[in-house]
Amino acid sequence: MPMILILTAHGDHSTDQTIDWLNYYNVQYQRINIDDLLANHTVAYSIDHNHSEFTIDQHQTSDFKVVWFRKSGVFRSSDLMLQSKNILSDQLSSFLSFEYTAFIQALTISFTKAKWLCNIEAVNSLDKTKQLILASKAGLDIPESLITNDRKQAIAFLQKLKGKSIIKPLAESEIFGTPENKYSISPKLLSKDFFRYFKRKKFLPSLIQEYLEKDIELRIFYLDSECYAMAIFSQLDEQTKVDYRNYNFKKPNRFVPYNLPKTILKSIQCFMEYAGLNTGSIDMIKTKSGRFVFLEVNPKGQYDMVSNPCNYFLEEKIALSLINKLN
Amino acid sequence: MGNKYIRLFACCLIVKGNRRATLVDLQRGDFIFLPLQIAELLLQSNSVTVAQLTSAYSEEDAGEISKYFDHLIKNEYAFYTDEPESFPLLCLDWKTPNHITNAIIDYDRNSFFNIRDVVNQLEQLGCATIQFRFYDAFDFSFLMQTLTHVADGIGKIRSIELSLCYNPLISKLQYLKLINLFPRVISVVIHSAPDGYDYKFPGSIHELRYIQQKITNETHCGFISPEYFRANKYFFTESLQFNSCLNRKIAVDKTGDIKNCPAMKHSFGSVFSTSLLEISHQPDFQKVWSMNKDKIEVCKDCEFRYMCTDCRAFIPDEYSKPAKCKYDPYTMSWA
Ligand code: SF4
Repeated sequence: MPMILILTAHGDHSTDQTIDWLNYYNVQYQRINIDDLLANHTVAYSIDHNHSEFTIDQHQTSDFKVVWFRKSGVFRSSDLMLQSKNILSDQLSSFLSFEYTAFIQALTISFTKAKWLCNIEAVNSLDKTKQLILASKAGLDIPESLITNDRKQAIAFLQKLKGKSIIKPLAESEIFGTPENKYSISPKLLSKDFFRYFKRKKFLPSLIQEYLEKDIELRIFYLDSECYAMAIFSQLDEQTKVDYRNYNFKKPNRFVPYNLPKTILKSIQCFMEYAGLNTGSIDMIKTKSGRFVFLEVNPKGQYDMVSNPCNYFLEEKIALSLINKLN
Repeated sequence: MGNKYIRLFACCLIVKGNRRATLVDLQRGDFIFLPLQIAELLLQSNSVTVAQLTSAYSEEDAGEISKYFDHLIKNEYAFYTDEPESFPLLCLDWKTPNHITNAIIDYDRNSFFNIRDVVNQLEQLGCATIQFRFYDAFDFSFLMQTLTHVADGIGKIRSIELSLCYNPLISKLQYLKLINLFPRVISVVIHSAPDGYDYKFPGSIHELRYIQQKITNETHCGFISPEYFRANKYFFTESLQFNSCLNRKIAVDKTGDIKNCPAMKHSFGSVFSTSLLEISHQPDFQKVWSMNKDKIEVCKDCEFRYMCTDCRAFIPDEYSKPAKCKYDPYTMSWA
C-alpha cells in the first residue's frame, strides 16, 4: 500500500487540519514529528556492499511514494537537547545539533524515488540572495539591494536611493534577549544619514534595500502552479507600515483575497520552477506607483494565515495535492 | 474620489433585514447597522464608480451618501480603488472533513451511561469539540476521570467546554490543576454558585466563570440575545447553509438518549442499545442540519440571522423562530 510520509513538528495545527482531510479521503499516511523522532520512532539506515535501506518503524523508505516536508521541527526543544543545555558552555548541544542535521540529511537523501511536496534539498539550497536573482531572471520586479560590510559602499548606496532604505536580516528575523530586554531583529527603516554617523568602517555584511512605498502587501500561497493570493492593508496602520508582523491585535490589518495580474502569475510560476519548488509562501509588495515587487519566498510558510481569512480551504487542497502525487 | 470605486473589504458582509441591514465584520468580530439604501448602493458598487452611483441623486442626497462612504472608509470597512476586479468577494463555502463536529454530553447524579464509551465513539466520528454539562455537583475525582477518558483517546477531540455545578469541596487551585493537566479544556463555567463573577488565575490566561443561575436541566438553553451573537467566518458561512446550532451536532442527554439536542423531545435511540455512528448517519437525524435561517419564519427577514445561534428545541412549530427570541425585525425592537 503506497503511503504519504509527513515530516512536521509536534503541535502543528496546520498539519492536523490537513490530516483531517487525508482521513476524509481515506488515504494512508505516516506522520513524523521531527522534534520527537528520536524518542517515539525507531529509525535505522543499513548500508552494505549491495544495497542501502532506511526504515522508519515498520516501514521502508520505498513504501513512501510521497513525502510532504511541512516543517523542520525544533530539535532545540527536544528532550535530548534540553538535557545537554549548558553542559560545557553549550559545546555538547552544538555538537548534538550538528549530528542531528547530518542524520536528517541522510534521511532525506534516502527518498530518491519519492515525489515531494516541498523538496528538502531545494529548500536548503535557497537563500535570500539566490531568490532575488532567480526572481529577477523570471521577470519579477525586485527591490534594489546591496549586501556590504563597508560604510562607504553603504553611504553611496543610500545616496543613490535618495535616502529611502531599509535594513533587514540576511537570514531570518529574530527576537532575543531576556524577558526584560527584548531585541527584535526585523526590517527597519534607515535614516538618510545612518551610515554617516556610524563609527565603524567595517561591519557584519548587511542587507540594505530600497524602501518601497506600499499600497498593499501580498502574501501568496503557491501550490502546484496555482497561486492563492491575499492582500494585506498594512499601510493603513502606522504600527505595521514597515512590517505587518508588528501585529496590531486590537485592530488587525485587513486581510482579503486578491486576484493577481496574469503576467505576474506567469512570472511566479517561472520563478518557482527555477527554484525547484512546488509550494511556498511568497511575499510581494504592490507599490503606490503600481509596481509588483517580489520580496521573498518561504517554502514552509504558514498557509493557515492565508487560508483562513480568504476561505481558500488550502488544507484540503494540500491533501488533494498529496493524493494526486500518490496516483 | 468620484471616479474611483468603493469596495467593502471582503470580510465585511452586508446582511439585509426587513427594515435595515447589518454590515458584519468577520475579521474583527463586530457589526454595524446600515440603512437599506446604502446597503443597496454598496452591493452594486464593484461595477460602477462612486460618481455613477450617486448620479441619480439630488446634490443633497449625494452629499449624505458620500458622508456615509467616508465614514465606512475612515472606520476601515471599505476602501477606494481604481481596480475593483483585483479584489474578489470572499468565497462563502463551508465544509468540514468531519462527519460530526461538536457534541453535548449531559450528566446528573441519576445518569449511569458510560462516558468513556461515548467519548470513544465521538473520536471515531471525528468530533472536535465536546461540551460536558453536569447538572449536579460531582467530586474532583469524577472530573479527573472524565477528562482522562478524552486525553487517552486518539486526539481527535481538540476542545472541551465544561459546565459544572458548584461544589464547595473543590478549590480554585484544583480547577487550575485540571485545566493545566488537560490543555484541551477551553472554558469552565460553574453554575449554582453563591456569587457570580469571573475569576482570572493570577499569572495565567485561564479563568473560571461563576454564575448564580441554577442550571438543573437542559431547559436552560436557547436564549437569543445580542451578547450571544457571533461574527466570525466559520459561524457565518456555516449559518448561510446550515442550522447554526445543530449542524453536525450529536447529543447524549442525561438518560443516555441520542438526540440532535438534549432539550429536544425526539430521541433516535439510546446509547445502551445503539451506536452514535449509526444514528448520526440516519437521514432523519440529519434533517435538521440543513434548517438554515432562510427557512425559518421571521428569522429570514432578520438582519442578525447569520450571527445568531438558532434554537430548534423551544419552538411552537417546525418553522417558527426560537421561542426565547424577543427581537422583531419588522419593528427593529427588542420586546
Ligand atoms: S429573529 Fe431570528 S435571527 Fe433574528 S434575533 Fe431572533 S432568533 Fe435571531
